[in-house]
Amino acid sequence: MIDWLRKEFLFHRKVFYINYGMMIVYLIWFSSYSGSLNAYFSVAALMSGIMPVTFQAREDRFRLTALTALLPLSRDGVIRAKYATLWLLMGVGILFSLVVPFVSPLAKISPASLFSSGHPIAFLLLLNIATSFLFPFIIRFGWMGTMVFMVVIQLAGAVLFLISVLLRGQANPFRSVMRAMMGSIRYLMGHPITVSWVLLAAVAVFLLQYLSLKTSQFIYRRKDL
Amino acid sequence: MESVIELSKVTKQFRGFSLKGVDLSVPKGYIMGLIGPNGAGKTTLIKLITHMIRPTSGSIRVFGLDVPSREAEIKARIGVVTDTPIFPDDVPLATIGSALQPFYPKWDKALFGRLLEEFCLPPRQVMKKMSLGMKMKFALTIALSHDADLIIMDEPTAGLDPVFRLQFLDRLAVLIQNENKTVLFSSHITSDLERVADFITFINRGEIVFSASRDEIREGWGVLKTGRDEIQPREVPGMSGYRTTDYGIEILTSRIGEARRLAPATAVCEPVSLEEIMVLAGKGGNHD
Repeated sequence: MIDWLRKEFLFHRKVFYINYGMMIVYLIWFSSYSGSLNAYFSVAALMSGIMPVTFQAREDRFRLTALTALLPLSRDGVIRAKYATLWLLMGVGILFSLVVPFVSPLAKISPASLFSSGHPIAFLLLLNIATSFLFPFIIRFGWMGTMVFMVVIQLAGAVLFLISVLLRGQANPFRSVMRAMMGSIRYLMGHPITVSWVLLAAVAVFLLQYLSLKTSQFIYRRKDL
Repeated sequence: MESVIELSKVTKQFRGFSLKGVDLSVPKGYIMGLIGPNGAGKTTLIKLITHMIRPTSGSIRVFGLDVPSREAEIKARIGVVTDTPIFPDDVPLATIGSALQPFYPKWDKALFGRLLEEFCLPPRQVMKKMSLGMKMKFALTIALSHDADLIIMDEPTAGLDPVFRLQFLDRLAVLIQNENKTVLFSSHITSDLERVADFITFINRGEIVFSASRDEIREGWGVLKTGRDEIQPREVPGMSGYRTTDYGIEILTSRIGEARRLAPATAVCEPVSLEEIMVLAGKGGNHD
C-alpha cells in the first residue's frame, strides 16, 4: 500500500501541489469573503472531492490503467490501493478545510463556530456520499465515462425541473423530493455534535465506503482493461 | 520442453471479433514470434496472457501458475512492452523508475541506470519530449530492470527506424543467451522475427494457423507454382492458402515434400518467407 501511495505521489506530485495550493488560496479567500458556514463547507467538500478525481483523470489521459494492470498486484489489491489514495486525499482536503479558519487572519468564520454545529459532520457525510457513489462509476467507465454520466444526470435534472414547473402546485412529487433532500441537509448541518452523533456518522461513513469498495472490486475483477 | 506460457482452448468473444479455441505453448528459453495481419488477434492474445482482459473460456497458465488466481506472483516475473507508451508524459524517467522499483522484488537499480545510459536516455528527460523509439527503449528498460523471466512485447518495433530496430533486436538476442529467459514478441514486420525468433506462431482471424520452430517452417513450408488448370488447390496436401496470378497459381503448403511428389512435372516448388506465408495464409490469399 505504501508503495502504491508513493508511486501515486511521484506520478502526480505536480498536480498535488498545484491543486492543494489552489485549494488553500481559495479557502483563505472564501473564508474572508463570506462568513457563512454552509457556503464554506459546501465549497470545501467540493474541492476535497476534486483531488482524487483529478488523479483518476490523469490515469485515463496517460493510459496508466494499462501500467496499473501490469504491476504485480491483484485486481482486488489495485482497488484497495485506489481507495486508500481516495481516503488519504480526502483526508488532506478535510484537514485543510478545518485548519484554514484557524490560521487565516482574514477569515470571517470564527474557529469556535466550526464545531458548534453539525457542519463538519454534514460536510464529511456529503463528501463521502458523493465519492462512494461516484468512484465505482469511475472504475467502470473511466473519467470520460463518468463525465458523460454527470452530464446525463444534469440533463435529467433539467428535464425534471421543467416537468416540475409544468406540473406546478405545492404537492408535485419532484418538489417534494427536493424539499426532503434540502430538509435532510439542513437537519444534518443543524444537528449538535454529540458523541453518539459522531459515532453514528463514523459508522455511516465506514459503511458507505465499504460498500463502495466492494462494488468497485466486483466491477474491476470483471473488467477488460 | 518446459513451457512458460500455456493456453488451452482459450476463447475471447468481442463484438465483431473472436479468438477461437486457441492452444499455444511457449517453450522456456526461446524467442517466440507472434505474426499475423492487423486485427488478427495478436494484441488480444497478449492481453489475455497478461490478464488485462479475461477469457470467455479456456485456461491460461504462466510459469505453471493459473493466471487469474496467481496474478501478482506471475506479474512480478514478467516484463511487458506495449505497442503504445503507458507511462505519465510529464514525469522524468528516473522518477518513473523510482516509483516502480518497490513493486518488483528483483529490481536492479544499477542495471536500470546502465540501461538508460546504454539506450542514451537522459534520466531527467520526460516522455512528452521523447521520440517513439526512445519511448520504446524506455519501456524495454523498465521490462529488463527487474530481471523478468518472461518478456512480452506487442509490436515493439513498429514505428522505429532501422538503426533503433537493429539495436533493439540485438538487445533481445543478448537477453536470450540466458537460458532462463523467454520472449514472446508480436510483430507484423516479418524480417524482425526471421532475424531473432526461434519459434513462430501465425495467427489469423482469431485462430492459430500454425506454431512451429523456424527450422520446421523452413523445411516444411513452401509455395507450389504451376499453371491454373494443372492442379486444384484443395488437392495439395497442407494447403494453407493460394492466389491466382496472370501466370498461373501459387499454392502455399505446410507439407512441401508431399506436395512436390503430387505436383505436375511443370510445377515449381520454392521455399517461402514469413512474409509470403502471412500474405497467402492471411488476407491476401484464398482458402476455400
